[in-house]
Amino acid sequence: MKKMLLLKIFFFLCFAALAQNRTVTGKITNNNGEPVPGATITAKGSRQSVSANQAGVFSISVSESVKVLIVSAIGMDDEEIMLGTNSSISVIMRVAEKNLEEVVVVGYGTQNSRRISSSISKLDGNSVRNLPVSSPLQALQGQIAGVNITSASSRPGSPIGVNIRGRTSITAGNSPLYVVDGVILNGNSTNLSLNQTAGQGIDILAGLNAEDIESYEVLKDAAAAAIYGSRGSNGVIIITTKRGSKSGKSVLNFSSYYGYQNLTKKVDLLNASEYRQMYNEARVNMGLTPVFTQSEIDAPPNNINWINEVLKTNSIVQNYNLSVQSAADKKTQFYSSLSYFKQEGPLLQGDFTRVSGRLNIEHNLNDYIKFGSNINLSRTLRNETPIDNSIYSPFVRANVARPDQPIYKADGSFAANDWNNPLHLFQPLNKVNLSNILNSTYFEIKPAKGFKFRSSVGVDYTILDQRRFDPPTSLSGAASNGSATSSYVNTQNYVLTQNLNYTTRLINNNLNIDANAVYEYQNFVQDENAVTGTDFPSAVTNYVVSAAKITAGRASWTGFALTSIIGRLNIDWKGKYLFSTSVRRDGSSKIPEKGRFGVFPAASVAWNVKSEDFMFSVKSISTLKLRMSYGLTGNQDGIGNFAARRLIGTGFNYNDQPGFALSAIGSPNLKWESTEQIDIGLDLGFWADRLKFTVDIYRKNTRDLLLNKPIPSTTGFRTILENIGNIVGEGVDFSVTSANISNKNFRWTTTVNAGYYQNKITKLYNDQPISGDFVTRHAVGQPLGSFFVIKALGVDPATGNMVFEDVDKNNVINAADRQFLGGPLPKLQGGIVNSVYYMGFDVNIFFQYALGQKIYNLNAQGLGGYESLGANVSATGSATNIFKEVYVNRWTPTNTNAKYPKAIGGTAGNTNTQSSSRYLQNGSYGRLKNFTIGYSLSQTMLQKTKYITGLRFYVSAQNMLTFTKYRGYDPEAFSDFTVANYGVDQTSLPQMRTIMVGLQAQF
Amino acid sequence: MKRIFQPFYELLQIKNMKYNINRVLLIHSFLLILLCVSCDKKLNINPRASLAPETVTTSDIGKLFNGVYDAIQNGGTNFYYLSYATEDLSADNLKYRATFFQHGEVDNNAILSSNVLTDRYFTGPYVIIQRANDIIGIVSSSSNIADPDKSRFLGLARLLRAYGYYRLVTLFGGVPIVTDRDVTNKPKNTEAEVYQQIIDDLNYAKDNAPAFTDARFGSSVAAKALLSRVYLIRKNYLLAKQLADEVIASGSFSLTTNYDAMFNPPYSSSESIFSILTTTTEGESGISFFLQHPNMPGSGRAELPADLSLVNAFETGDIRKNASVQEFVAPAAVPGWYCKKMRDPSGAGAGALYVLRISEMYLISAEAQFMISNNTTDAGALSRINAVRTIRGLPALTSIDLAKIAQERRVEFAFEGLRWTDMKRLPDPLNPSKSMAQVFCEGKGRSVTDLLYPIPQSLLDVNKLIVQNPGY
Repeated sequence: MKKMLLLKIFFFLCFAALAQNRTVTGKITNNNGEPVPGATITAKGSRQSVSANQAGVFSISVSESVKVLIVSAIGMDDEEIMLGTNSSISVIMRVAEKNLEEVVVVGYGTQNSRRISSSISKLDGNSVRNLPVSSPLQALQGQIAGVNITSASSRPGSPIGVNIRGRTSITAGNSPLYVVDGVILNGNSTNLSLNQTAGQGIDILAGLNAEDIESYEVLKDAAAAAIYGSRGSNGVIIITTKRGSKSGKSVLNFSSYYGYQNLTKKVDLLNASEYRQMYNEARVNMGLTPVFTQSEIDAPPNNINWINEVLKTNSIVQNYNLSVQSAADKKTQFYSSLSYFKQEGPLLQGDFTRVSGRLNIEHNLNDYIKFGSNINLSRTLRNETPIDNSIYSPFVRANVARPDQPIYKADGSFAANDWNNPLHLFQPLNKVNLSNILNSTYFEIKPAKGFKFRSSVGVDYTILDQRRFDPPTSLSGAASNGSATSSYVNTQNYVLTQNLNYTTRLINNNLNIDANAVYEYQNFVQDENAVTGTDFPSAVTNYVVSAAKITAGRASWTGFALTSIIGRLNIDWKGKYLFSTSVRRDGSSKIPEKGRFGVFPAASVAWNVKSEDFMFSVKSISTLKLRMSYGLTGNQDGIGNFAARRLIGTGFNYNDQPGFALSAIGSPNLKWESTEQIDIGLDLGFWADRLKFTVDIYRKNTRDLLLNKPIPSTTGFRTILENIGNIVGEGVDFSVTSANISNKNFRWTTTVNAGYYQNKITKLYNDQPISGDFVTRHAVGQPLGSFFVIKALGVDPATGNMVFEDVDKNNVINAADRQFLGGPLPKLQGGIVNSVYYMGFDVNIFFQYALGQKIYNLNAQGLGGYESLGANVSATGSATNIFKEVYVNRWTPTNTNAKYPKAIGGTAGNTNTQSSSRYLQNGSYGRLKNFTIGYSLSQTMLQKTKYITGLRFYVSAQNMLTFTKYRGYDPEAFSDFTVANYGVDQTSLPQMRTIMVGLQAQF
Repeated sequence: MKRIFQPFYELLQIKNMKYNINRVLLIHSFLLILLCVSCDKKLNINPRASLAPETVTTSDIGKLFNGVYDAIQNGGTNFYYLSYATEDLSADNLKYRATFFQHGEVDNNAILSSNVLTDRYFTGPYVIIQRANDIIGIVSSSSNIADPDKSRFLGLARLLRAYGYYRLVTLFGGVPIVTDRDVTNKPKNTEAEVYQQIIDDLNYAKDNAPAFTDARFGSSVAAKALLSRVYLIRKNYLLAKQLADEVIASGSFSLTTNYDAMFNPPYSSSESIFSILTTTTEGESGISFFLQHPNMPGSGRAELPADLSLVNAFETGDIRKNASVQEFVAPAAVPGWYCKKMRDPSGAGAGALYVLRISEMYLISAEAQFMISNNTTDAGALSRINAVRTIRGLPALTSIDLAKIAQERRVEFAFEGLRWTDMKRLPDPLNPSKSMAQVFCEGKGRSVTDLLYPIPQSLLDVNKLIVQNPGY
């Protein structure tokens, strides 16, 4: 219609070309009265057109016959101005309504943000692409309300803990589902041979290059996540990679950064003199003679700062990325990239390298058929040191090793240390390498008006090769005269998706219908091979081929499959009243046939109040939407592939002859954990969404928790996996975005997000509490994984020993006196981002916070802990080194109101250092996560170069400031994400502080 | 409404129209979806290191028996091999030195119901029993096993099951008798009922189990020997003696002059009726490592040294002393006497567990004969005990009594898991109204209720029908 009209006007104007000219001047502003620079003013019906200047002022000479001026600007609604007799006009432009909308990727499709009735958060990939982190997930930290991300440690490539709206499960896992370009990735839990604790686990997205990512969508409420049915309970993170450019020009991008990294914190330890003083004191206080004379204290033979010895002075992080984005082309579009990333860990040994290449291509065969393929090839290489909870972990041992014992003997070999020479612990090799192909290939046909059929194949193929070698000279390999293990884990994950979509508009285009029918089949298989050998001739020959004895070998297979039928219907009336419903029926090979199929329904409604006529005149409010949703999701990650089956297993051998025996008693009644979630949300925007709020209140109700229920051992088995137990969680997600200043040359945007969350267990098997590995316990009425320890009341000023609360008043302090003293999850967490742009300069300040959680500093406790104050001392046993702050504030006869007890070994030392709330600390923190200053060259400067179309330099700092009361290394780093050990710090490597320079160029 | 269905109307008109690619595509799209909906059988995925129980055939029975022997080795749990030292530790043959405080509780006869070791000594035999039950279930319900094979399988399975119950009843007294894997709570049976179950099983086994070929496997004669021991415990001296004499008369076994050699690899001996061997490939027995001194072949951690009273119990000239115990003196670390019988010179976790030896049949025969005749110079009894003594380098006895029999059994079967049961069933020489074990316990301030181990707390928590043993 519009085209026809324009054509008519064009012809009309051709005849009027001879008419006389007049000059019209004017000023263009937006509805806040700010000038709109660069707006285009066209005389309707002619080719005459001018641009407004920076102040929004224009002047145009038009023929007398022109009656209408068309004013257009990017992001604004076109305005048509009737020309009267006045030669000076003022134009007020409104922000285009369609500009307030964005396309959001939902499961199995996309939706216009205005038409979404569930809770989905979107993050633009470009806003977080330049952070010096190995995983795209780390870049999401603090960016989205209700998404709690914790880095295990600063071991690059190690797993990232992600909880969306808290935690719902004890054994079935609390990680969200990851979907990359439609390929559903399999969770971490099936890496057979790997120790899942931090350091040796694997980040599921380590093979992805953050610069390739177009957007992250987080499906938070059940209505959004229920489309993923039996795997939606922990939320879903959808990652979409880049496509061809939307502009008419192909773009070549080069970007790079290079930086230096250091630990965010180094704790002061005792020097050799102080250590000897404490050692003596601990002996004297328990009635033994001192071991050192005053001169031996004053002039110890060695004074080693082991922390400094095990750290690199500067760890380098570097990234190079080259990509090409094709021009918008009707036929073929593509995006392609190559990248190299390398990050050194903070320790002398340990680094992570990723090389990846991507090609995303889409081709239109004709108007009906489209073909596309996204392929990512990546290889990551890691050098690792032993996990945190190991006596062979260099960083952990560096905290307790004796500072008065030397590094090397006179002959240059490693000297012994009572607590293991930390430098000696770098001898073992642990190489963890991953090769990954991630491919999604699809064709899409439009068989009839409104219909779209998309058939896609997703392939996620991973080869993990891990090679460990403990040389004969190493402490860990000495007993076996050197030992090595080589293992390969081959993982194939296929997803086949058939998706039929139908959209139509009915009743004068007022009723919009968008319906999907999907069939999906996913198949996952994993092969594993491993061989172990011992007795190596030398530390150089580190492959198993050199082993004199092959001591163990293993090859195994596992797999599962999932079939799903999905239906979804989105209906809206004029975009005002939105209704959406979906249902997914999942069948899983993991579940016994009886309960194999589960149905996961969801529904949501929303009201776009702003679209009502009565809101039209309320110009200041640009968005007002009320949302409400309900849905049911499941969780099956924690169910072993064959856990439900009664099986006769192999390996029950006798006399070196093969044997069979019942290896699993079977759980014939097993089914998914299911989570109901209700969400009520409000989206509110003012002044063309320059100020925008989103608030969601939710409640999650998880039933049928998977738990190992004890059964009578007279069956020959002790437990059976069953669905018992409930958890209730609730929370509020809040975010606000404000464009404080929005001019062409000066822009300032502030984003604040906050997530409040808490949970409570409401039912367990016989309501019997379940203990974690160290100090946590799941119990009815308590948050999941609460700390359950003896309460320390402080130091007795009279004796200098710790006083503990005797809950049962029996004058004995023992396990019966433990009590619940808080949980490991923050009550409130989120981030604050400020971005400022001024005349080519940009500044980004990102502050992250988490409040209300406790951390248990596990390696501080016990006889050998770094707050032990000589507790290990006996007639023959020596003290471990400790934190200086503990030493300074210890009880002495002259410092009786002390924070820490006296230095003492024996029974008193044992009691003082027992597991108690002495080591349970406030884990709240705030952190200046990122501070970046950049400068982009102006177009006028770039025009001289002819080829360069964009050039930006920046300097960036990560983790510059941390505000916390936590006495350990890092309140952010956890050793372990299992629900049993969450918040238990086993001296994981603290986050690194990074200073780096970067460059981004477009050609 | 019409507009929604418009495309379908178009589809229906397919017969009278030209080739239209779009419509064909649409039909195929629907067909694809419909086809895939029928893919639910793709969900039947089977593991490749296990079998579904219903697929086990009769040809697998032998492998299932290996699974039962495997359970005797390890009870399906870690540290189960320590159960083979627990009688000697409860009694006066071993003492507790280091690390596992649970061993300290056993040594002090002050076991808590939460003791994780005795918990395993309880669950381990049930793994043996249930694996035997699995075989009995499969064989009994099978229609394609020939009758002679069937009874042979059942005989062997019932022998191994009886051994499981024997291990339970001697340590824990009455326990639940289970015949299948049903996850149901069963109350305890009485001690007498459990013994009756064992006797029934062994009576069947002695008539039906395979004939003896190799001591590493169960046999009818092993069933007979175990039944003889059980009858002795139950004070059925007539049958105990009869069976012991039958085993001796079978001619399959003989006393050996080289007592020491029995305990060396390959652990085969003319004395062995039934013994469980662990190969170096399996390497899952740590009993040698726990009992031995670090300086002994295959090393050790000196956790449970020999009790001096045992060392002193060896008479001068007894060749068994040097084969059974060894002394380490300072400056060797942890000096003292240590068990030498649980040998594993490979240090690979291999070794033998002696279940039944022929010398026991001689001593059962002697004891039963003495109890029947009550004559301290009973020639039959003396000839049996002296047969053992003389071959071990000791002079023949001229008179016999229970104390002498107990002493002979103590040195003959030191560390072989018989001592605590012997002490419980035999009267104390100085206080004959009480058992040796009771006097032993009372001497340490413990009581008669400490003779039985506690039923594990883990089972009491789950199964409320079970009553804890008295005194716990």
